[in-house]
Amino acid sequence: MTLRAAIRALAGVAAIAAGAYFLVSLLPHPSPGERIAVRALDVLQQHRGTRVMIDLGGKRLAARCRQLPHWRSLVALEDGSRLILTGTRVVPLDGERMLAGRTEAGGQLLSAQADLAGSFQLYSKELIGRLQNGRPVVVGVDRVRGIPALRLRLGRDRPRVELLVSRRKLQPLAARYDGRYVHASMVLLGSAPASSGRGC
Amino acid sequence: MVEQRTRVERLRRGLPRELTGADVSCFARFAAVGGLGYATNIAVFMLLVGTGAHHIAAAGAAWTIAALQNFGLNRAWTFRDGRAPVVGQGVRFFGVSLVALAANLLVLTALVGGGTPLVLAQVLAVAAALPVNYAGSRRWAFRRGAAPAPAATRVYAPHPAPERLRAVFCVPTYNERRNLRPMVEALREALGPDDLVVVVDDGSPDGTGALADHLADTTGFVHVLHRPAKEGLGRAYLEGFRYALGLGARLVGEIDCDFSHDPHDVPRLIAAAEENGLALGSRYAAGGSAPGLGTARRLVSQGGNVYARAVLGLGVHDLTGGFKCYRRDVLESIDLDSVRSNGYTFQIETTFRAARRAFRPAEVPIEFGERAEGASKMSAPIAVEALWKVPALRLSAALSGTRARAYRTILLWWAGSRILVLATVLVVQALRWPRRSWYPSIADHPFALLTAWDGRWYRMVGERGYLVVPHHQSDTAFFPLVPLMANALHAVGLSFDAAAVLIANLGLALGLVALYELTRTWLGDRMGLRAAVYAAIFPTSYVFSMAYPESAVLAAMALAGAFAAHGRWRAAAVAAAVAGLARPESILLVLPLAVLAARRWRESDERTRARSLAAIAAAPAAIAGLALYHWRTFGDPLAFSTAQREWGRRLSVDGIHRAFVELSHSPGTYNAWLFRDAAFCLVFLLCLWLALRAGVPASWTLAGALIVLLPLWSGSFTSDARFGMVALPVYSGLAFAGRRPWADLAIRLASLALLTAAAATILMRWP
Repeated sequence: MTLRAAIRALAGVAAIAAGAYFLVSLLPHPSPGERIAVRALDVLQQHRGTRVMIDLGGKRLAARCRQLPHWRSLVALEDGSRLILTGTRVVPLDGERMLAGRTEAGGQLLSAQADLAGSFQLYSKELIGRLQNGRPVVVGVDRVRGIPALRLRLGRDRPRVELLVSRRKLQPLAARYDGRYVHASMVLLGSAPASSGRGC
Repeated sequence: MVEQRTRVERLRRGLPRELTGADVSCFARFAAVGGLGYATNIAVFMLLVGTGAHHIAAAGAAWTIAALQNFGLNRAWTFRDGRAPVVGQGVRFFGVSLVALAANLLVLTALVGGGTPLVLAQVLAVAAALPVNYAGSRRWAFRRGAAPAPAATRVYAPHPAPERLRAVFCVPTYNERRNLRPMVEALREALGPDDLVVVVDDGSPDGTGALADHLADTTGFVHVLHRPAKEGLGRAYLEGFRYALGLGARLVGEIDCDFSHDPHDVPRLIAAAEENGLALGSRYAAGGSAPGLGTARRLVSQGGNVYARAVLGLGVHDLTGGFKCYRRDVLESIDLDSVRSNGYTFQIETTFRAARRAFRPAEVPIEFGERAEGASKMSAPIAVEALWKVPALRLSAALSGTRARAYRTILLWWAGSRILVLATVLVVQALRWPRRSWYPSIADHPFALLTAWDGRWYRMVGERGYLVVPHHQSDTAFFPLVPLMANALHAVGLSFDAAAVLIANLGLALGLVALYELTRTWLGDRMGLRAAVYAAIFPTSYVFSMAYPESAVLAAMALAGAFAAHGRWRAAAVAAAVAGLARPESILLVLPLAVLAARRWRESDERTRARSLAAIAAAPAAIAGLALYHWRTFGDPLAFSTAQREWGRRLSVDGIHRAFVELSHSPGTYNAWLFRDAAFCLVFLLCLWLALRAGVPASWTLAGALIVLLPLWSGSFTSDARFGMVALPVYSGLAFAGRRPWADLAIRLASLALLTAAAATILMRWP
């Protein structure tokens, strides 16, 4: 086999690889919002939320979150109530609230408290669900305590849950919950690296 | 006498006559056409309803398309004995169809009003209208004897043909009065005493026919065929050829009457025909010219020739010229009765047919002059006819004989098996079985079940492109061919889901034909056919109808193998590259292609060697192109395998051990499905062993075994029932197992039953 034939074969192989690259590049490209969401997801997975201040219809309430075994998290609210988060499921620990959670308004209150408890793991899951369903993630800009922020929509569109992250580092700053019965927000007071074992 | 009395008695009682074999055969053909039309009707209806059309409008459009298809097939196949002018038959057929449509809509409206699900209602409505359609078609639209008798040709031959007749030149005429006499005189000079001119006149209103009769009287050298009406150049030539053969001519020629062909070239043409069988007066061969053509006509003519030459693969420069001479044996071999072309494609068809019978046409360079008198018969419809007739010629030639029968059988099994799968999933969806809360309605998502599981991910890639979600299941685990093709169809108006399902099913049809072509190179025609049929009804072949890439992989891998086996390495490279963009297993094509190339290395020239090397590396090269894209986009050339890990697929040394541990420790239902996958893994391996015994090359069998076994090293049997479907020799092994009639029947029945069961449980477990 001569050098010429070898070069010809190599050229053919290169043309096929280039053709394949060209074809794949004809696919749509993820939107800037989706790219930002993926970066924000990276931040959420490397950190954990520890403390938040929830504003629930004008009533301010501090909350803490910590990790439990078996991929569960415990949210403790200042008023003494406690919630267990497993994936995107919420279970109150006291019976009275469990009963209240069976009504639509009570269920929404529980879900608002869970969404605003500062669990980065919960935000990750809801963000992934949104990305995997191809729904838009970055829905606008805002400011939190003077810091320019991006509004990331989480989960489904109803109730509307938004996570506000800093525009520069995509660090979570705050979250909002808008449901039929509950309108609430939270401001993040503390976070820790995921390796520290604190927060959730 | 007794028989006649019985018949009369039956008629009196109004009883139908007894069915004959021909009736049964006709009914079977009608049923097959009806079945295909039924599938088309349902498919079009679902497509339209899926894209938001009203169900009545969708039913009307579906019916029209199916009726057009049925008309073509019934005319050409079912009722071919009752040939009549297409317009009259078409009007009658559509009249019948309209009546049947009215019946269809009535039933549909009643059923939908009664709450029957849309598609089920349409299925029932079509079934109800079918008898109306059949009876009308049989009794009226395609009734026998509907065609008017062909007008008779009158022969005028006042003087007998020479006893030792050598050559007969046919001169078709229509309004050529001014050219005819000089042409006959010129031919008389060019031809010898044992030759004859046959004027075929199409009832020219200018009196050409009368002049021809006069020349026949006075010269004794001319016979005239009077056709009552203008029926086209091709028909005129055919009549002339048949007449000449009937006279016993050894050579039969044709020449235009307008002097664009120089009669003085006739002796050269005859000499070349005697030597080669067929001689063509060529304007475009070396030494030929066409000063008589204007620039525009020359462009059209040369373009047409380049087109025909490329499509038909003939090495002839002038395929459309009408100055030709055939030896008797050539004309007899090309079966004049089956020549269908009538315009300028007549010349192409006759030359193509001769070339296919191993006669190499000789080109005699000529000067194509300007028409002396009268007007050219070239028209736009003739040019348009050439556009589609040329590929049709190629196709019909490719589909002739054993191969054509095999293709028809394969396509029938393909259609039948796909109807089975489609009907099963629609029934499951309509019945919402097994009970699940998230079954979408058929009207909203007619392809929901066929686009379930991985179909959702392929849709995401198509709609949004690749997006890596770190440490989570990401769509880079899915190869881009299906999204790319579905996007292309989506751009012309199909929904992504409909496009993906359409691609999968058409890909399977191509894949089965390619599998047949590949298998017949290993084991011959019969085994090839059986392998393709078994692939069409393989128990897990419902995946071939889903928005998955398996059918595309089957087609591309089989095409790569078949092309390589025939030494067409460039085509093999393209097919292998396509396979590379569809599934990672295609990389294993390297093995059989390399072995094949190595075996032919010594006898190959350098160009073939280079092409074979490119084909061997094509699938890896295509995957490298994808990796390059991932690297540039995500900084991770292995984004595919990175994402696969999130699905639990990580190749490791102890993977197969983990797979068996999972098999023995998984709980309940999950375990049952795992056992299904493990059982199919065993079946695949058994089939591969049988394939090896039957004579399938070891390289292909080894590649098949790797396709089946490699996924087990990722620690699970999960989906092996799907992965093994593209191990092509599996079907050869199965065909070998089914070589006895009882085994063949058992395999077919078991496959169909299992396929139905598998399609019905499509939502219970991912494939």
